[in-house]
Parts: sequence; structure tokens; C-alpha cells
Amino acid sequence: MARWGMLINLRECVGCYACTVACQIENGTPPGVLLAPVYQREEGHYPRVRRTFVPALCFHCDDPPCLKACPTGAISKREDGIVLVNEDVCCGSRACLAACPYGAMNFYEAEEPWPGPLSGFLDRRHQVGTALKCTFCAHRIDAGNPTPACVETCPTHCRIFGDLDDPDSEISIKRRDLHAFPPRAEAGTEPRVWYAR
Amino acid sequence: MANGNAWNRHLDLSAKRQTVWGAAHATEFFALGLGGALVANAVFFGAGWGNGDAHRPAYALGIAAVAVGGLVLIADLGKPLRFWRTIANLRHSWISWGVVADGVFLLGACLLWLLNGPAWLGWLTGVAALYVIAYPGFALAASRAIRFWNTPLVPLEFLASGMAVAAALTAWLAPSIAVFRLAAVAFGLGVVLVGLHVVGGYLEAGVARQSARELVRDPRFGAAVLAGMAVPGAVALAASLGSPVAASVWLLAAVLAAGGNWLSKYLLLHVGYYEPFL
Repeated sequence: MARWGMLINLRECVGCYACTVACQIENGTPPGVLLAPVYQREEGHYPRVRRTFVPALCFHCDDPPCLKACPTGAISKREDGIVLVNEDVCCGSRACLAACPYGAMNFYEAEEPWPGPLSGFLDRRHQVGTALKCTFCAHRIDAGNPTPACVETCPTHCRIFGDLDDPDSEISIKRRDLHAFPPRAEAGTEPRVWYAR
Repeated sequence: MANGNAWNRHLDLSAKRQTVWGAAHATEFFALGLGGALVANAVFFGAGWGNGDAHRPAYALGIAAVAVGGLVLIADLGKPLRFWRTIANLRHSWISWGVVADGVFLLGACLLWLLNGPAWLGWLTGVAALYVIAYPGFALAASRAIRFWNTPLVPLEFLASGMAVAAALTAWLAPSIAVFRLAAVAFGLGVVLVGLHVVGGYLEAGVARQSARELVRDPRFGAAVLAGMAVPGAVALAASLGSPVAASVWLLAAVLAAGGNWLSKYLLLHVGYYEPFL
């Protein structure tokens, strides 16, 4: 059984948001719900200031605080480490949103039309009043294609997805070579998405 | 709140104010605290009112308050008809245990109210009442995402402030030296715990300090502590030392304490910030 994880190389992200859009298309997320956002950050001091981009998603923690907070047990962790929300069980308490240190949980509050020419488009794959999150494109993995849409779309190959248990996988090699680190390690959630600078 | 989450409104990686819980949850936490404390005070300290030791009106008011709190919670769910599923994660979730405690409390308090049940039922209901008061605080304290909430002081604050408001109300309806003392101790503890929490926030780095600073600078927080805790606490202390306090003063103290309790819970939620994860 593979143990899926992701490495995000911040040096290579150019902030094109292709991953964000690819995720929205792949997963049919409603307006306002971003399962693969790209954050911006200003670093340095004038006059040496630069803007960096920080792609994010659910970090599929080994000790997921969302799972512990959810009162209905709608959040589960698969054997391969992917954390999923069962929308048929979620009661919309939003306890998972308050618990996640990474802003990975989204809430589908109400049906809203997409703006402009997309106004007629409404994907009804998701239930209003429930929590949504990145699934590492588990439906693709289950179909034999272990490449999430965000990874497949990224033009700079800054997102690397693979089996953390395989020492020869690209993700394992780059995690070592690039001295990758987990975000907010002090939170103790043991995330499976690491960053490299 | 709209679709998404607090992080997605502006895609900059800075501290984000939580938008999940607000006035509805403050109302729920206040109602659970008041209702639970009315029964807990009656069971454990004999601080109720009514005919003899039965304290039936206190139980009735406690049941009504907890029922209102529960209904506010259910109405706020994204899928209210799935409310019954909230007891499914007893292994991990403070909220699941809270819903169970709500049920035990409502059943036990109803039996006490209607039948004046045996002593063991009083103790069982009292223990459930304590958890009803404190469990929203446990749920907040368990959040590793929001540092200012992530302290065991929060459930203790909820316990002390809930018992203080209930004692002030009881002091108005059924004044006795024991109730005055209970109110004085509860208000005093509440002030100390809030002070420790704010100082602790200041001593931490990052967003906890930002939360503490924003709380202290908000004039509503000063009003909540002064009018909602310090003034009623001073009245209770004076009464417990033997000074005569008119019923109208106790009514005013109870109203101030209730308003301060709601406001302090609302502000605690309002100053919750997520820390940037990178």
C-alpha cells in the first residue's frame, strides 16, 4: 500500500493559478471554494522586497485535527493516508474549519452562480451545507492514475506527488535533496505535504 | 459566512480572523452555561429557589436555557436534519460528548423537575450540567489552529462565568449568604481566569499575542469585564460580608453579568486568528 504525499517546491512556483483552476474543474467545486489555493506573500524589506507564491491544499495529516473535531465522524483517513469528508454524513457544524491549522477545509454555504459567461454552469456533485476539501484526487488514484489534477497541470513541475514509503520515488529523493520541511511542524499534525525553498 | 473559508477571501498568507463561529455560537455557549449552571449550583451548592429543597423553578429555567442553546446550535448547522449524527465521534470529539451530556442533562433535569428524583439522579444530572457548561470551552481549547483558544483556561472560564451568572440570578430570586458567597467566589475566579488568559496570550508569540492585544484594546472587552464581572462580583462580595443589598441591585447585577457573559464569549470568538502556516 502506497503512502501518498506531496512536495511543493516554492522556488519553482510562478503563481499562474493553473493548479487552482484545474482543481476546480476536476472536482466541480462551487464559486468561493478553493481546494488548491495559491497564496501570495511579500518577503524582505524595502528596497529588497519580493513576492513569493505558496501553493496549498489539504495536507492529509497523519494526525488530522479535522477528524478529531468532527462530531459526526464524517471525516476518515484511508489506509493510503488520504483524508476524506463524507458529504452524506457531514452535518455542517464547521468544527473542522476551526480545527484545521492550514485553512484546508471549505464550507459550501449556498449555491451561487458563477460570474460572467460561466453563469449557467453549476456542478451538483457537492452538497450545500457541508464541508469540502482536497482529496488528493482520490478518484483518479482509485482508477489507477496516481496524479492529482493540480500536479498534472502545473507548468513548472513545482508540485511533486508520490509514494513516501518508496525511497526511490521522485518525492522521496527531492524531499532529501531539497531539505524539505513540513508546514507548522509545532502544531503536531504530521502533514504529508512538505515544502522546499 | 459565504462559500469557502477565511483563508480564501484574500489569498495573502497572513493571520486570518476565523469566520466560522460568531454571535449564534456565543448565544449557544451563553445559554448552555446559564442553564447548566442553574442546575449545577442547585445540585451541588443548594443554590436554587422554589419550594423547600426541590428547586423546581431553577431546574425549569435551566432546562429551558439549555434547550434554547441546543436549538440555536441545530439551526446553525449546514444540515440541521443530520443533527442526530453529532454523537457519532465519541472517540475524539468534545462536541459529540457535549451532545450526549445535553441529552443526559435534559432528561435528568426534567425528572428532577417533575418528580424530585433520588439523590443519585441529582448528582448524575449535576455532573452532566458541569460538562454542558464547559464543553464548548473544551471544543475551543482543542483547536490547534487558533492559538488564543488553545489553552485549558477556556473551559475553566466558561465554568466560572456560567456559575457566576446563575448565582447572581439566584441571589436575586432567593437571597442567602451561601448564594452570595458562591457568587463572589465564581465572579472572582472568572476575573482571575480571564486575566491569566489575556496575560498568557501576551506572553506567546505570533497570533495569540495579536488576539490578546486586540481583545484588550476593544472597549467592549473592558465593559464585559468591568460591568459583567467586577461590578457584580463586588456586589456579591459586599453581600457575603454582611452588607445589605437590595433586590433591585441584585437584579441589575444579574442582568449585567448575563450581558457581560455573552459579550465576553462573543469577543473570545471574534479575536480568534489562524496563524500563517508558513
